[in-house]
Amino acid sequence: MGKKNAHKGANPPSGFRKYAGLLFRSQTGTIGFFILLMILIIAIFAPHIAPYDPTSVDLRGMRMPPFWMEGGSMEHILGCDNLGRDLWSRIIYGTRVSLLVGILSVLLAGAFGIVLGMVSGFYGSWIDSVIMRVTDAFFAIPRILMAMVVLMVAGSSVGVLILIIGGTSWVPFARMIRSEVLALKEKEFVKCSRSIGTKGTVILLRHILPNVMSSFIVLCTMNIAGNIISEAALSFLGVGIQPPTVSWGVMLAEGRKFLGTHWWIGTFPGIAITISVLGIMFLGNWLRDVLDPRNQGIK
Amino acid sequence: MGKYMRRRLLQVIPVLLIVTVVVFFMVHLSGDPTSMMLPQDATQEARENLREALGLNRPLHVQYWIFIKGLFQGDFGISHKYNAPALPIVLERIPASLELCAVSIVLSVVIAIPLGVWAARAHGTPFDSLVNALAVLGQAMPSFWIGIMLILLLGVKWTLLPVSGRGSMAQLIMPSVTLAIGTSAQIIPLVRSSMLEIVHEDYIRTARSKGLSERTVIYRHAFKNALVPVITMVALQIPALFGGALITETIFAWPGLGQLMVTGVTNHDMAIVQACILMITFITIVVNLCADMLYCLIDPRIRM
Repeated sequence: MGKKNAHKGANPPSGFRKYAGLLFRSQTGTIGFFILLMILIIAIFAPHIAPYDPTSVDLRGMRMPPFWMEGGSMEHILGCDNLGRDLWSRIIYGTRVSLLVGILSVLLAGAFGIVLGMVSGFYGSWIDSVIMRVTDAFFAIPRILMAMVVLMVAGSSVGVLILIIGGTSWVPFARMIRSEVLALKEKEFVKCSRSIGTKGTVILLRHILPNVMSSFIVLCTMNIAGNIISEAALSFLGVGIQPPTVSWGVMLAEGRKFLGTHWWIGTFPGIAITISVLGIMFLGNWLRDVLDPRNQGIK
Repeated sequence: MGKYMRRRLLQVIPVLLIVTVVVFFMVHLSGDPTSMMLPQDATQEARENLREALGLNRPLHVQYWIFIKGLFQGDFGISHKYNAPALPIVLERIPASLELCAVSIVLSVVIAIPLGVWAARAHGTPFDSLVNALAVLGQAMPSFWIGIMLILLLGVKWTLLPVSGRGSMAQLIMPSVTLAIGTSAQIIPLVRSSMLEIVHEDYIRTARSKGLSERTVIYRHAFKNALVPVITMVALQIPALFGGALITETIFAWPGLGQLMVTGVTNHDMAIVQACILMITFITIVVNLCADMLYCLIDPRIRM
């Protein structure tokens, strides 16, 4: 991809090293990268990192506060919830659902959106009108409402959750890719290719797709953050992930009931969501600065 | 201008139709609605009777036609929880939702515009970085967690504000602030960057060289033009705002559409849920249309 973008800048990027160098020059980019790396490691090695089974009930530790408070102990550093389950272990396992749903739903939405956006922008005419009106309609229905209706009828599981979050979040992809394609279509290299009789689909795949990839990657990253929040929101409302599966949204919903007396149960899962989303946003912002030529020079 | 408006208005019709199709098919294709309306141990016969009563045995397009015809006659179905037509129940909740959303939008604009403009004027200073950091943090925190934390601090710990219900000004503060934090966090960077872009324009340089005061240059010349993308952004936030209101209303027991919808989902009350989603979407479309018209008034270039 680096080589294909070469005509745009004076210094063609030279692969991994160049990007690694750029990453460590950006403070927020570095922070974002390490946060995401940390979350990935935690999610993959959750059983080895978590000190306890996230679902094992221990009545002796019921509502134990975090270690720095009176009554807390180092055995449960973030304390326990109303059933005596270790909060730290639950947060560790919660990363799994969040990342799984976040990443897979974005891939689904991205695939759907990129196809619709490219077809709409490239072929124009009535196809474009139809796709854009459908996009408008999907944009007008608040995503979370749509997701709730489907989850209510279909019942909820991780699979349905991924499908529905992905299936309702493709609109920004379609809109952005379409506008990029509209601009690219007028570029010399596309016109040249057309004039020598290249077929439309070949132009789309060979000339246009590589050029929208950088915006696509940026949008994907940004949307992972949004979709993690969507999953947490749906689980919080009781229609997403169902206990005993551990999810940050479920933990928040449980914590909400004990706000008056045991603040930590509802506080730590929210901090976990905020840190993960922050990390992903930082990385996304950095990617945008690096990959998107339009943003070059703007800090 | 008239022509643009007419075209824009005409575009709304297909969008509304597609919305009804999407909602209808989502409800009918994602599963069997009777399975959640009846107890688990219901007999096959009871199931069949209900299907017949709801018209679920007819072909889909016939069902859709009946659904659409009903909508035009104001028939949004019968809520089996309230045992009454769904529409009046939903209409009753609209003022509360509009109040909450309107106050949050005003609040977020009031927070975001001065902060964004000041950050742009103080470009590169610690204040600028602070505003940026706050905006990023505001975007990263989920609104329902912000709500919970506000309840924890302002409601439970310091008992400054009531934590639920609607009626007094004090009850409006926490839910609207919860919604406004996320929305203003989205608007601030845009105000800032659009101000930064505009101060480099020729007409700003001209205004400065005429010897106008910095105040006049910023607020009379730059600010007005910086407002254009901000209005679009605010309009784009509206579906998300209504989505956020759904959770915020639930957290603060605010008797709006969102709360009705969530209880509808919990009670498996299909008519209420359908009516809520259609109503919220309809409001979103109308508000977006208004924003477009405003946009058109402010920026004459759009009318072309």
